[in-house]
Amino acid sequence: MTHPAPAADTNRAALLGFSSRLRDLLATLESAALVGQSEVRVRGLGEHLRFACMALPCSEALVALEVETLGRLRVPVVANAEGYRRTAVEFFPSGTPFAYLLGGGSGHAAELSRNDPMIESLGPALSIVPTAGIFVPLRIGESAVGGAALLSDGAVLGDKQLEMAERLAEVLALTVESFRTEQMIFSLFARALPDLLCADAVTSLRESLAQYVHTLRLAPTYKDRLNLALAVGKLCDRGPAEAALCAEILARIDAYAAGLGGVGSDGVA
Amino acid sequence: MTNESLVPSSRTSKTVRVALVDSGVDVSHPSLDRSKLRSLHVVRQGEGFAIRPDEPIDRSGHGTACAGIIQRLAPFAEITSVCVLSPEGRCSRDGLLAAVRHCVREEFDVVNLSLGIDVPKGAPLRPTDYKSIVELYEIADFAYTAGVVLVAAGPNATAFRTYPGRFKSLIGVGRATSDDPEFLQTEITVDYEILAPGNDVVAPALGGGERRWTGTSFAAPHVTAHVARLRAERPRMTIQEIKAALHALAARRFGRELARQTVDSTVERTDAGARSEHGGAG
Repeated sequence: MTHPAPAADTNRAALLGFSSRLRDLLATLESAALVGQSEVRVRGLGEHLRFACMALPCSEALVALEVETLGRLRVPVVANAEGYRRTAVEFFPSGTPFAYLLGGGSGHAAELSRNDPMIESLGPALSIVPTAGIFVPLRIGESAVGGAALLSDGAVLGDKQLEMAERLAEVLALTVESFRTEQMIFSLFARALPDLLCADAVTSLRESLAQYVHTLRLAPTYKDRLNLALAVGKLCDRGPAEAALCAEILARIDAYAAGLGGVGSDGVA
Repeated sequence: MTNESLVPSSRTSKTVRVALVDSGVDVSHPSLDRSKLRSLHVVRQGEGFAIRPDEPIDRSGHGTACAGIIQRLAPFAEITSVCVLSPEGRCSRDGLLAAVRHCVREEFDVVNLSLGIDVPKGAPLRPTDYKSIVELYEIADFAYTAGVVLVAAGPNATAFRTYPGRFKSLIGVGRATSDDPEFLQTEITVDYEILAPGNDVVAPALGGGERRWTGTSFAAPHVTAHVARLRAERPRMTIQEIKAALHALAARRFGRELARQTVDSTVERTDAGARSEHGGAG
């Protein structure tokens, strides 16, 4: 099948104002979508860790993921056999087993002591004083993006549990990878916007976005938000006065929705 | 046949130089002999990497444990820690390759690699994996030719392929459970060829004490120490001869164990017979 040639730049230029504004609105949508995805990711990680606590003699389990470009690791979730909880603990890997894991090292188990300097930085995230731990790397492609720690406060963790922990790390890494893939797809999609908006585009932008929203399995309210984004984009194209008016109306709608309680800024507009 | 021209001429003295490619070594640890330790560090330099003198610190605690195991079994060895972790705890595969390449170029007697590339057996290799693995393969081949013994940890889980531990030009090590630090067992698999203690191994920990460690990472230093001993005895041993000697040690140990078990069971049978005769008489 032969696709039509991309539109000439002159055709596209007329759409640039609209597309840049639409891009801003999409960024809002993207943030909301990623927040939704992030929820799913934390739940996925939490449930896997919880399962590990049920299957292995470990009292608590956590993952520590790198915070991009900052050199720190963040612990988004800690689980035990009863459930999981979010945390916001961040630490530098240096001096911890995670430094070795990030360096390409493989999983290992270690006996731990009270106030062990090796896991001191994990202390605020934990509700137990671990006596043993297994540390396994989470790898995406060729790089380690963090690690998981399975910790016990009495039971021995060693040979038998290490192999299972390495496999658990694979599952955890897949959860993280699927989230990152979604991020990448959205970013590619945003980059392709000008082509999708051109007069003779072979793809319908609106359908594609709707499809994307559907695949994210987000609430239908996002679809409504998408309709609003397109309508606002068209209005904004009429001139700066219309754009200012739109921004004001949107702010009022958001304030109204927030005032209703529970609906928030992502509610139906 | 041994090709003597390939054996480095420098390898004639009894000073055994061991390289430990890991997270660094905390030389202030009381159970380590700091006079036998030297610290280097892989640093990024432009597009490549350079090896520089390093502070004698451990960025994770792993390297100190491995150094402790080697020094306990081969106290005469001079250990050079080649830290591949950046101060933030990162290490690229290229950094790891640069470290191993340096150790081969410097003609260390034995190089301990408790770091490597783990790839799930079920997952296809990615183009970047191929590149790193082929480079590692070439370095391992070069080390073999140069007479530098690489000892590399195998996978902890059967679901992984670990490189370079799989390469047959070096010594791949799996882990076994044994309280005897001298324990060796031949087990030729695709992933490794010899087992050494790697479960609940007591080794130094950051902060001054010791702890129990589990992982193939801690089995590899045991084999490294055995190789260091062999090299101390016969500096010009080739890698084939070293491998053969290790397997001979394992076989001898197995023979002794078998003889002990046979004696034990004979004694047990004799005791049981005596008890039965005694009981019958009573």
